[in-house]
Amino acid sequence: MLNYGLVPAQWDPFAELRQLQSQMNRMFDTGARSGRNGNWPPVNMWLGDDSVVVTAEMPGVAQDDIDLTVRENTLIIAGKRNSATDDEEAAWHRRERPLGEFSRSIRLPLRVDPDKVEARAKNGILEIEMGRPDAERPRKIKVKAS
Amino acid sequence: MANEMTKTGGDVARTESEDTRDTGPTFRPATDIFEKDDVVTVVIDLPGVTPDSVDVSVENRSLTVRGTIDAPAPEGYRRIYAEYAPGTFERAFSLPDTIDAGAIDAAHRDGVLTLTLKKSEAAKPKQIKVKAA
Repeated sequence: MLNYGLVPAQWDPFAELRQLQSQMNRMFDTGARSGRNGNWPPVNMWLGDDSVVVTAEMPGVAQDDIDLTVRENTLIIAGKRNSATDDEEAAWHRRERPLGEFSRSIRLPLRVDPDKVEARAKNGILEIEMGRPDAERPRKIKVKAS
Repeated sequence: MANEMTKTGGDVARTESEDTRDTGPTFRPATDIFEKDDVVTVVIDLPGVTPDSVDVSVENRSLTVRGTIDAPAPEGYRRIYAEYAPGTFERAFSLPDTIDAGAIDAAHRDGVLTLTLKKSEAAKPKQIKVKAA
């Protein structure tokens, strides 16, 4: 939990939620038009015992159009979002969905083994599960009784 | 956001809805609308919404699209960084009289909802023959 520098009596449990919401609003209202600025897709990151999961909101991107690269502690999500229509004669009334090529580089909290990467897409959410190399797993050391 | 629901400590302010879960903040989904011949296509990004939970309704010539994000946390993991949050997507559009509200098709794929709206017969241009007197 983040500390906002408030004394416990003033702590508002919804402050964090509101802050997150305002961040979300900003994300949805501006800047989302182009995927070229390196901020698309939006991601969440999850940490497990020996692995890390990155989930990304990328609606409308077919599984085959997603290009993933993993190296050491960097994940690159790249691909292309197609326009809703290629018809030149169509008249546009509203055009808010980002489109075009995108590439986003994400720094992971641990080094991952490229052989231990699994990616799944469901309802426009891409989930990438990456495992730590065996050599780097924390090992339990037994204390021997002398 | 204007559509944000207020928490009422257990009770839910909405009355008509059967769903009493706290659905979190409401987001306005990015939307494309284009028109070709007598078809208007509305394309809405709803990432994390399952096709079953998308709700499309028409009332008083107002088209409302609603969908709750169902993206559970990966099991055995804790979140360490977030740029998007669970909640509900909601957006309403007013339908012009030229649209046939009874003939709306909806398809959902890869987190994108595509609505196909047709112009009503009455709104289509008609040729009127000039008779020679």
